[in-house]
Amino acid sequence: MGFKDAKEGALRCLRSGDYAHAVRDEIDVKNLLACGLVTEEDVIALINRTKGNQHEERPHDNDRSVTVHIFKPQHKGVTWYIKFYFVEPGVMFISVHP
Amino acid sequence: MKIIKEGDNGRAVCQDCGLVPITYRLKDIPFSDKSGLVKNVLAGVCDACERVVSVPRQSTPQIKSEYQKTRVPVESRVPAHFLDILSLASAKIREDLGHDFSRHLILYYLHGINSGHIKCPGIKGLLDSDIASAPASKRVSLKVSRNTEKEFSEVVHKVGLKNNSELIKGIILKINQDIVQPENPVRFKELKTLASAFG
Repeated sequence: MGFKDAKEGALRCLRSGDYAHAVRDEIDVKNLLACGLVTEEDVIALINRTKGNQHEERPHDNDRSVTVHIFKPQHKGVTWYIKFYFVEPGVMFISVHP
Repeated sequence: MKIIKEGDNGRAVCQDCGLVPITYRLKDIPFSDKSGLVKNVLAGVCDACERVVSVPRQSTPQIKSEYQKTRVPVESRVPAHFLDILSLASAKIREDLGHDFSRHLILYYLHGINSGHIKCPGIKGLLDSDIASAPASKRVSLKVSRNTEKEFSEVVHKVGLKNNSELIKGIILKINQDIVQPENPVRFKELKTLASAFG
């Protein structure tokens, strides 16, 4: 899956509410969406402004068959990191933070 | 949005087992900064090793509510006489108010500055004044809510200071200027009302 599909897929899942948050025994406070410190609308806006050269993909550290997408949009001079992977039926957010 | 029920199944990556089937169950999950715990929240549990590996979107309001309740320290190293200023200010408002009132006084000023109710264009200058120049041998530590922590960041930015520590010092010096030094303290009636709410 390339940048365009990842972007469209993430936006679709955020709009429909079909997403979850990755947890490793603890709720990562770096996932500001999971902690409710940023809203779905904030993350949609950040993903919308992400350009192709602000996207990376790499295998998940714990399962190389899963592709992790990293979006690094700029907002008000700050770089945001939005890390997620796709798993049916939606998106699993690993982290959302500046 | 699909509403997940306890006992539903899904899939997620487990840190030990990789991509695995999960079952949704009610679990207690701590925050990674050790500030607290979300009790009885619906979470995805790895079917193989029983580790908690995900939380569904529908759990976010519960997580947010618990996270907002957690308390975080906001601290400043201050000269010893800064604590005396706080005690003198409290005693001037009402004699029986102990040092515990200092926290409320600092937060009253924080909120007042943020809302524009308290004007303090010279707070930066206060930090360079003679009364501020002494070894920072004591500590002021406040446990505050996430909302108040956010308010600290907003006020630091608003008044052009570097960090929370500078803001706490600036507020204490402002308290000295407004309450301790004048014969008739500024906002005295309001401060007495605040004190009456304190008990």
